[in-house]
Amino acid sequence: MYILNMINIRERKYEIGVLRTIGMSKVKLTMQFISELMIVTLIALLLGLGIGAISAKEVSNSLLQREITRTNKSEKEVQENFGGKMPDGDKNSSKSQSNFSKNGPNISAYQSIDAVVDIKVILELLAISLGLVLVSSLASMISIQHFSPLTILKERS
Amino acid sequence: MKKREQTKEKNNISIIPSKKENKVLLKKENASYRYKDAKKDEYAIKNINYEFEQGKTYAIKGRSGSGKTTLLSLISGLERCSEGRIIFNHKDLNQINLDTYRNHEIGIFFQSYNLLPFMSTIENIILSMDISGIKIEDKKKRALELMKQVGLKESYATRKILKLSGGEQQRVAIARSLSYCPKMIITDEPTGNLDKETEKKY
Repeated sequence: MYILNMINIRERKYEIGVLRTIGMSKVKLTMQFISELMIVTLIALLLGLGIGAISAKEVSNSLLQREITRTNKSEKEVQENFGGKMPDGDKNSSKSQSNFSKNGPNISAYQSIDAVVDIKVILELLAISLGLVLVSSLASMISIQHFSPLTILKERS
Repeated sequence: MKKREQTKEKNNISIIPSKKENKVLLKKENASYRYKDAKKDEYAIKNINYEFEQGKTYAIKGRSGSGKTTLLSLISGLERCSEGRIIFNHKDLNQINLDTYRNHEIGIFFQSYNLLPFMSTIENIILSMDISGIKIEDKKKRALELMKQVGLKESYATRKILKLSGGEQQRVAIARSLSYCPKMIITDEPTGNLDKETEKKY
């Protein structure tokens, strides 16, 4: 985000030069860039949270089912290859053997995930996003402090 | 033969005043400027002393590289003097907020107009009013009046800047610099990008 912000500032150097020449202060200009970044982040966050809230449960359950199917399939293959028994291992295998029954491993797995986008998740995401915005906007703050409007306008000419 | 006003020549720059006598608005006292990467005794301009009176028009002439633009950048507050000072309306530019100076006290326009291309004509003019914080009830109306004053049709108000000719863009730049009623207008080669015929109109 920092690099994207740097590129954004660079592309808009002329605009910064003109605004500084006609008397816009560095503080106001910096606030403008930060505000733009905040608005874009907020819109992206709302869209992301909306889509995430709708699809979180379905997607996570779908992934879980896929994982369960894959695990069951691989265990069945192992069972078929070894004729229903696990190979003799070392003496310490008794603990592991007790986990296995005649029909395969006795694993109790989650059948579904209750993925919910609640207020806590939203607030956490908001806090992380704002933090990222502030860090990446350091680029704009530093650049604007050092830009000389006259140099920018001369370069343009 | 007419008597000519005395011109002062410093650093190959000559300043030509017009005739009336008025209150001193801008005063330069040993104003000097050295670029940051220049040697100690290498000045772009050195020890400029002059008084500019209110109500007069001044032209600063000089050869290329003589320091005209540097002098204008000091007067317009885009740079601060390395030595000496410039006093505008009894205030030392080294000690005041130059952003406020540029958006309240003076209007600036350059050879290359320096307008914002993604904005329309009227938006460029209103922008400077917004930045200066001037209290005007109807900024759009004021902008249209200024456009009329500089000879731009009302239909140009919503046109994007890049769709205007050089002369028209220069007029927008003039209108912008006048929008908050500054005490002084500073311009750097205002007709440099115009053809001779348009230059004569100015």
